[in-house]
This record gives sequence, C-alpha cells and structure tokens, in this order.
Amino acid sequence: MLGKLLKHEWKSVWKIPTILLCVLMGLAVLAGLGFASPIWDSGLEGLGVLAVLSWMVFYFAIMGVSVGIMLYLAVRFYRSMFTDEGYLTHTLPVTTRQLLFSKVLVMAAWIFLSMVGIFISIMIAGGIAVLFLMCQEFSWREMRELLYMLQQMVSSQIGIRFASFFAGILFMIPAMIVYGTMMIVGSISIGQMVSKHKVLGSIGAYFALSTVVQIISMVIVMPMLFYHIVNGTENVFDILTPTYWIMGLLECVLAVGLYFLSEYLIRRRLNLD
Amino acid sequence: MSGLVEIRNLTKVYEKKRTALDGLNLVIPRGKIVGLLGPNGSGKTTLIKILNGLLVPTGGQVLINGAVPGAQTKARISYLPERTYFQNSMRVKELLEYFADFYEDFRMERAREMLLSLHINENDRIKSLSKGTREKVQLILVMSRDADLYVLDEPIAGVDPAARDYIIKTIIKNYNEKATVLLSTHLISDIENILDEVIFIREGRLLLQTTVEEIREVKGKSVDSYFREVFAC
Amino acid sequence: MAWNLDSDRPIYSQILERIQMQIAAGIYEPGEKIPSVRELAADAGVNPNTMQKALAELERRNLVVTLRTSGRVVTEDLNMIRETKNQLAKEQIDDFLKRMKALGFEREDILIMLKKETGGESA
Repeated sequence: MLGKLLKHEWKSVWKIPTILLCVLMGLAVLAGLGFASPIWDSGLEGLGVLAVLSWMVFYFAIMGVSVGIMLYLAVRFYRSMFTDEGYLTHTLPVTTRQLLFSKVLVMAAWIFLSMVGIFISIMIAGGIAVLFLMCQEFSWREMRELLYMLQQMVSSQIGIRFASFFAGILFMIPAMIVYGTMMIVGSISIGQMVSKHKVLGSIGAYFALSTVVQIISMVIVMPMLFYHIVNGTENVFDILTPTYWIMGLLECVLAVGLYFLSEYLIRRRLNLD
Repeated sequence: MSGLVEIRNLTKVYEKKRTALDGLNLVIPRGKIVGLLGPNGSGKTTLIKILNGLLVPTGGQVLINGAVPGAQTKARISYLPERTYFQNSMRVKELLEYFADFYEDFRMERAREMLLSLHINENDRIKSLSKGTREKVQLILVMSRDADLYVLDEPIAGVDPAARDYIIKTIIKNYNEKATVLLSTHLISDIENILDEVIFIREGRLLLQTTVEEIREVKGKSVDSYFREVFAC
Repeated sequence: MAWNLDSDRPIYSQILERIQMQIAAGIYEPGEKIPSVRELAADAGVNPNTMQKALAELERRNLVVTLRTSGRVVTEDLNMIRETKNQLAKEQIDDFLKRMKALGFEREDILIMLKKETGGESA
C-alpha cells in the first residue's frame, strides 16, 4: 500500500513544481545571455541595463520558485488531508503511518529536487556567462590561476577543517530538507484542529513553532559561541563546523518529534468539517 | 451469526462539552438495507464518521466484522460522504485508476458501464463537470465496490426527483447482496420503500430499531408518519 | 412505467398486485422471462428482499415458474392466467359495487348507468 500511496502522491504533485523549475531554467538561460550581452556590443547603454535586469529577474525567480514550490506542497498537503478531499484520503484502506509517511517522503523529495533544480539553474546561468567571457577577453590563464587559488585554499592548513566543514554541510542539507518538510506538515496538522480557521491556525502554528525552534537553537548555540569568543578562535571553521553539526542534529530531532506529533494528531484528532 | 456492526456504549463529546453520541448501543445486521433516521443534530453524521475512522470516539466501542475501525475495516466499507471529495484537477479516468489501485473490491467494468450510460467522458476533468454530475460520479465509484458495508450519508439530500430516482436505482442495482447498506437521511418518505430496517436516533441515543414490515403491517403506518409520531413528543 | 406505490399500504402486497395484473393483462406474456429481482426492485424503487418475497408468492400461486435454465418466467398455463384475470376482475367489480352502494345507488340504477356509460343500448 505504501508503494501505491507514493505513486499516487507523486502523480498528484509533480506537475506544478516541474513547470516552475522549467521556467526557472529558461530564465537562467536568459540571465546568462543577459550577462554576456554587453560584451557583444559595448556601444549601447541599454544592454548594460538589460544585463542587470535579467540577473535581477533570475534572482527573484529563484526566490519565487523555492518559496512557490514549498507553498504549493503545503497547500496540496493541507487540501488532501484536511478539506473535503480528506473524506477520501482518510478512508483509504491504509494506516495513518503509511499515509503520512508517503506524503512526507514525496514532499521532502520535491524540496530536494527544487534545491537541485535551483543549483542547476545557477550553473546554467553562470556557465553561459563564463562561456561568453571565454570567447571574449577572458583568458584561460586567469581562469587557471583562479582554480589554483581555490585548490591552495582547500589543501592548505585549513584543508582538513574545510573537509569536515563540507561534511557538516552535506549532513545539514538533508536534515534541513526533512526538518523543513516536517515544519510544514507539523504546523498544518496542529492548525487543522482550529475549527473553521484551519488555514489561519496552520500559519499561526508555523510561526509559533519557528519561534520555539529559534529559541531552542539559540540556547544551544549561544554558549558555544561565547566559549569561542572568550577563548579566541583562530579559525572561523572552528565555529561554523560544529554549529552546522549541532543544528543538523537538532533539526533531525525536531523533525522526528514533529512526525510523531503529526501522526498522533491525524490519527486521534482529525477534524474534518 | 453476529451483527456486521456492533456498537457498544458509544460516546462522542466534542470540544466545549457538546455531546453528539451519548451511550449508543446498536447492532446492525448483515444483508439488510438499513435507514439511519433522526433529526438534524441527532448524531447521525458523527456515528458515520466514527464507523469510517474519521473520528475517534470519546468512549465505548465500535466493531465492524469484529474489528475496530482502521485500515482493515476501511477496505471493506464503501462510504459516500455528504461532501464531494475529488481533487478537481483529476480526470475521471485517473479517479477510476485510483479506486482500482486502492480498493481490491472495486469493479472497473461496472463503473465504466455506469459512466457510459450517463455519457460521462473518462477524459473529462472533474472540474469541468457540473455539481450534479460530480455527485453522480462519486455515487458510481462508491457503488462499484463489492463492499461488506455501504455507508451512504444523506445520498438524496438536495437533489431533484430525477436525480433521486437515479440514485435509488443505482444503489439497488449495484450493492453487494450479502452486504448491508446503511443509509442516513432526514427525507424518509423518499427512501422508505427500499428499507428493510430503520434505526431512529435522537440526541445521540437509540430511540428505536425495528423492521419496516413491523411499522407498516403491525402499526399500519408509513415509516415517515411513524417517524413524525415518534419524534413529535 | 412508474409504479406509483402508496406509502400507507404494505409495499409487498402492492407490488404483488401489480405484477399479477401485468401478467393477467398480458404485459408479461405466457412463457416470457421476468426481469431479475434486482432489476425489478430498482425499477420500482423498492427493497430487493420485498420484491423477492412478492415473486416467491407469485411462484407459490403458480403464476410464475423458475426454470433452471432461464430463471423466472410467466406460467404457460393459460387457464391459470385466465383464472387470475377473472379473479382480479371480480375484485374490481366488488370494489366498484361497494362504492356505488355507499353512494346510495341500487342494483338496477347501477346497471342502467353502466350500460349508458359503456355506450350500450338502454334497457
């Protein structure tokens, strides 16, 4: 049944995020070309403006798409679970765990895919821009020097720290995705208990949860920061790396907690109008 | 054999101490068309939601085929709620696949045949259908299952006489003969001819459970007029 | 064809009467297959168990027979059908006479009126 749930959940959400990401790819190409355009003909003033404009549009598109996909996933979750659609969703011959798990998995997958999509779009925009630069006055030597500098930075005395910092980020990304998903799922599951104001309840729950999480993370991270400030730290990675690990762990714990809370609320406190 | 549904001392208290069910005891037999009758606010919908696992009772117990409401009972209950529950961007065809995938007792050919007789195109999106047609599609999906229990919540409320006849015919033609049909309504006269039994509830309590034959032949009244008499006081 | 069932009388006897009448009137011909219980019940908008009971009663009265191959059919015993027809006619006449008497008509008056109404020569 979990397989079927996943299949149908995927089928019901894939379209809009895919369209949004495709639009973003298109804008990335435009932005890349826009950046390269002044080089074609530097005589015209307007082209410079165009270049800046295309990058601004691209920048806002990235923000829009990431927020848009999150919002879309949240709305789909809300609608399928707690509006009239819920009468079908909750009478399927599945357990609450299977149901919620399939929703969370597909939602997390899409948040991940949107991050990948945004990363790719930036690569496209940057790639096109670099490609044009290379055709023009940009020299290979400068490029090689730049890469060499980066390599030096990584392999120098902070090399090991950089690697562990990178591992911290790699750990934090999935933690962040799962945590982000569970924040949405959790706040909607709490918010639906407010009869007749479910949406408002969900938004309220989201802000309340965020605030609580912020306070918790402050309480945890602050002493560590103080420790480093007081003792004098020679390297910024000494602060950043453990912070990432701790934040990642905290997000994991919160995500698991929110999952069980949501499951309990859906099983015991479902409130369809 | 024991009843299909056994309800013992069932209580549901909502927030603010509003009691919807108050120690309800009830056995719903197998193979019968049963009317769940009562005025608005008598607890009909609350009972139906508990049967379908959409609400958790405050106290007491419900057993369907000996099991408490859950994934297992949901596989054997076909439920028609008062609301239309479609995701409007879906096509009719996709809905059929959805039902066929989740419910083993879903009979695709039967659903197709009924849709065809109503001239509903399977490629149509739900949002392009009229409200009345959507309700019919939902009824077709629900009645295309060979369930043990059909729970139909106010199936004929707010429809015109032609639609009402269509609904009644569809129910009778398609329900699984060994199954029980539990049908809640406050429009008794429209539906009483198809009932075997009636359950009258008021203020969350069982007032009366009897056969239609008993009412008609012993009391010499229609169910509707008997209902009015019982609830007049 | 609407069944126009009366809500105050037992459904069972009403559908029984109706099918019986349809057989007597030849709407269901001798030997003709009768629709399934479910179809008849859906058509009449009545409970299938009630319809089943009515058909069982018709079977008991030998107006309907169940064949192993083709299900329920109308009897081919024409005498049986004629008898039923006469029986139903008698019921109608009795009912009519009862009402006319209630209105205060005597036997003679009724006969004269009947002849007049049916276009027959006057006595």
